[in-house]
Amino acid sequence: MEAAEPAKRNPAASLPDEILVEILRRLPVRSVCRFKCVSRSWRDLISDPAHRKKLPQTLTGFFYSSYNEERFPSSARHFTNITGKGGAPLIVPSLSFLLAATDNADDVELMDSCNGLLLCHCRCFGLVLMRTIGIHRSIMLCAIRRPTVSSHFYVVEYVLDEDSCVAGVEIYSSKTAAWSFKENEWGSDIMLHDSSVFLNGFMHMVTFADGVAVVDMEGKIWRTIPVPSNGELGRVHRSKGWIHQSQGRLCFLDGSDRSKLSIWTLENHASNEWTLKHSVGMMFLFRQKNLLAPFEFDLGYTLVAFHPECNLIYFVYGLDKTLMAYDMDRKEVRVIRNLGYDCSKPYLPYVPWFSEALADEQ
Amino acid sequence: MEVDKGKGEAEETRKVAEADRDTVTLKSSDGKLFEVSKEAAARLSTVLAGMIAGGSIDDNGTDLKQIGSEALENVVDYCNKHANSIPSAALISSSISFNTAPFKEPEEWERKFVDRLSHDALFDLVEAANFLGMERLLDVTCHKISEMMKGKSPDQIREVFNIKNDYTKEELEEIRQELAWAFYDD
Repeated sequence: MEAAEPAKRNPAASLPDEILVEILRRLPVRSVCRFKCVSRSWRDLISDPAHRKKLPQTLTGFFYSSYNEERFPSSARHFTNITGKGGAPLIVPSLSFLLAATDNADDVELMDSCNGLLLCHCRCFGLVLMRTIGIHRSIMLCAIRRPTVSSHFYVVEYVLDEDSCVAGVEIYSSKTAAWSFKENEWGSDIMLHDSSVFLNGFMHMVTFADGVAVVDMEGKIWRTIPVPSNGELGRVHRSKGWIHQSQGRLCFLDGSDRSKLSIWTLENHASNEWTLKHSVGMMFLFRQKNLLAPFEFDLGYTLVAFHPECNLIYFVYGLDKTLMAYDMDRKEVRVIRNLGYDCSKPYLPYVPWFSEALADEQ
Repeated sequence: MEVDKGKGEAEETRKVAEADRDTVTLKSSDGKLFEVSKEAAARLSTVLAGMIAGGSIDDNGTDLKQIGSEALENVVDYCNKHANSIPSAALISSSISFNTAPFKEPEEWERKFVDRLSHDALFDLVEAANFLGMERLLDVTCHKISEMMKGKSPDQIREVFNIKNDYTKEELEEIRQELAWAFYDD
């Protein structure tokens, strides 16, 4: 008898796209990505440029540079999707609007990325902060390091003294459109490594011997967080230590032990309490993929990102600068692609930011 | 011409009468009539506010052909509850389109209001809210639906929205590979 019944009315099935987008934008980015599997039309709806500026976004790829004297201009900028596959590029990495002004690609240098902004150094203009989507826009700034965005942004420049220790920070705020200098209150002789994270309103920076140095955007709160190393906390010299953020937490990746990589998360900011999340042998990471290593025992690798939503880490390894991903949950290593021997740091993770102009961009 | 003039005057009188009333009458697609506070309707719905201001409210029931009686009853119920319980300042809902823009959390009574609705009634209500330009109600209903969808698998979503999976097996496998991380729990 069921077949004889009239087709059941289903109001959910006839929902207009605009309402569906309103619903999707309230979901975590994880759900939205998963729902691309529902159907082609849902996938298209989610990727539609008109809608994606409303929907949550996550890591889509990496900016990086290459340098090759056999060509002119010698330097070039590239972008790779995290899948390593082709398809229409999400971004035009040549930054052609800048080049139009400088005439020379060698004049432009990638500095950093954060929340959809890309910071570049340009010989003509000094520092340039740009929206990487809607790449025709640019904002001219004149100094360095670690921007972040909510609807406004900061640029932080660490000012070093003649011994390369931190003298203080210059912080640019888009709200005041001005730089302000704050003297170092971490203590003396802080030397910075090159890994940094902006999280919860604080800039975190790995130091060579003092754990993670943290400062707020007012330059009022200064503190250091000791980092774990081989079971010890604190003042350990390190050249292989990185911080990233994932799922709202600060992560510390300790590669000081040549045989393994340890991944820690900071569960409690107040008590500096790190939890060992995962540990993986270097041989497991690099052995099996038959990759060309610089030297037999030289694990020439750079950690480039921690996926913001899940337990995936990305690194670049070996002579061919192979971009790889390691899935901590499945304990799987995946080669994404060879970026090429002439590529170099920084490899900048990119989470697009499709929404309208910065609130105070004008 | 005389006749026309007479009709015009009658119209005038009726409009005056309408303006004096503090409720408006709304008519659902299936012909049922509902009374709602004029003040609340104008405050909560941009479309009704426009109709009231433009004088296109019909005393015998303003036709809302797109909205069924069950959904309209919920709309009216919501307006009346809202009129009683919320200071108007709380209504200013964020329409900023930044993907990080915080959404106003539903109030306790709004949560209860949508929790008691059946699945179909909820989806009918979200469409009615959209049609009537009721930003706050749209917020509350979308919030409820998103909570229902959170953590669901693509299969479960297809069932709820009555969607046919039009991917090939290979395509789906490829997407799943790329988005493997998205299949862990929310």
